[in-house]
Amino acid sequence: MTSSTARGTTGRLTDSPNRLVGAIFGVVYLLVGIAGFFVTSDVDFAATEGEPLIVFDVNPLHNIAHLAIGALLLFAALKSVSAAKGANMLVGAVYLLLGIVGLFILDSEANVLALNGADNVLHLASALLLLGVALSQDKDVRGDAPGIPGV
Amino acid sequence: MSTARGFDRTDVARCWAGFASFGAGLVHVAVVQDHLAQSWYHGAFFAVVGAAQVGWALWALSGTSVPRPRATAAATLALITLWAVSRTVGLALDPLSAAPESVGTADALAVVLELALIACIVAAMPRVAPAQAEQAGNPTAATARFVALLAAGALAVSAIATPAMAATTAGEHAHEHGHSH
Repeated sequence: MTSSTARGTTGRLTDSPNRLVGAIFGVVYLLVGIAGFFVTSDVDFAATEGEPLIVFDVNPLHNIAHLAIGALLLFAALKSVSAAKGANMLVGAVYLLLGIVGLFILDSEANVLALNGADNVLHLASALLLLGVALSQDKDVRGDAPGIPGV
Repeated sequence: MSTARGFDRTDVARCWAGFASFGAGLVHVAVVQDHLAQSWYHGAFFAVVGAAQVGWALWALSGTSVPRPRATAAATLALITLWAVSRTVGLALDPLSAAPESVGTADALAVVLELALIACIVAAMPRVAPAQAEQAGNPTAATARFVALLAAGALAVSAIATPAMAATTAGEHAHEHGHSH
């Protein structure tokens, strides 16, 4: 049985799985969003063929999506457990949809995020983790665990 | 209020079971289109199995323990057995499908996920002596370890499920695109 009760109500970001995952993903996606602009300077805004960032193809629109998702996850993680849980659930659902739809659109004009196979793996992994943590942890949260400064 | 508790290892196994079932369910949903071309009941079978696995995954993740562990393990084992029979002696549902089918990427990887699901269900089942929560004076370390284990499980399942889905008709464009790079 989980001890999410204890973890979710101490007020420390690092004691709640939802806040910890949200913060880590938030920072990582913000950094990825910023780094993406260094490799997509010659790529059209919503080009279907992007440039690889490590092995993940990106275009400027994809970078902006990373920045927005990173900002949302980080903000929610710093705010409260319930906010982090809600953001993880929302972003997880979006990534799940994207991971599945991505399989169908890779070679089409609808691929406005310049997705490739590695993107699909990452999106599905992100979806599983975010949804898994949101569904299974911090179950007793009532939206009252504030973020604390200096975490 | 206690704040120093860690996590129960069976909780990790429950989440991993949810991930594995989710991945297997997605693969089965992805092959519905292929099997509808065979017959409506082939397609319906995979649609029902896929929906059941995704539904069970959400049930397991949102609950506090593995739901119906013995029944789920038995049903999953039955699916694997059905797959093994179809790949060795063939299923006599109709004269055309009586011959053994060849093993493909999608079905082989789905079976891997189902075997993982059974293993996780067994690992999450209550023991004679209750599993001891990972006790630590540092709850932050316990939470970080828990999250790391969940991340590893999510990555492993997606690394199996994505190529499996890409190997179906639904994902065949992914291969074409991949080769073009």
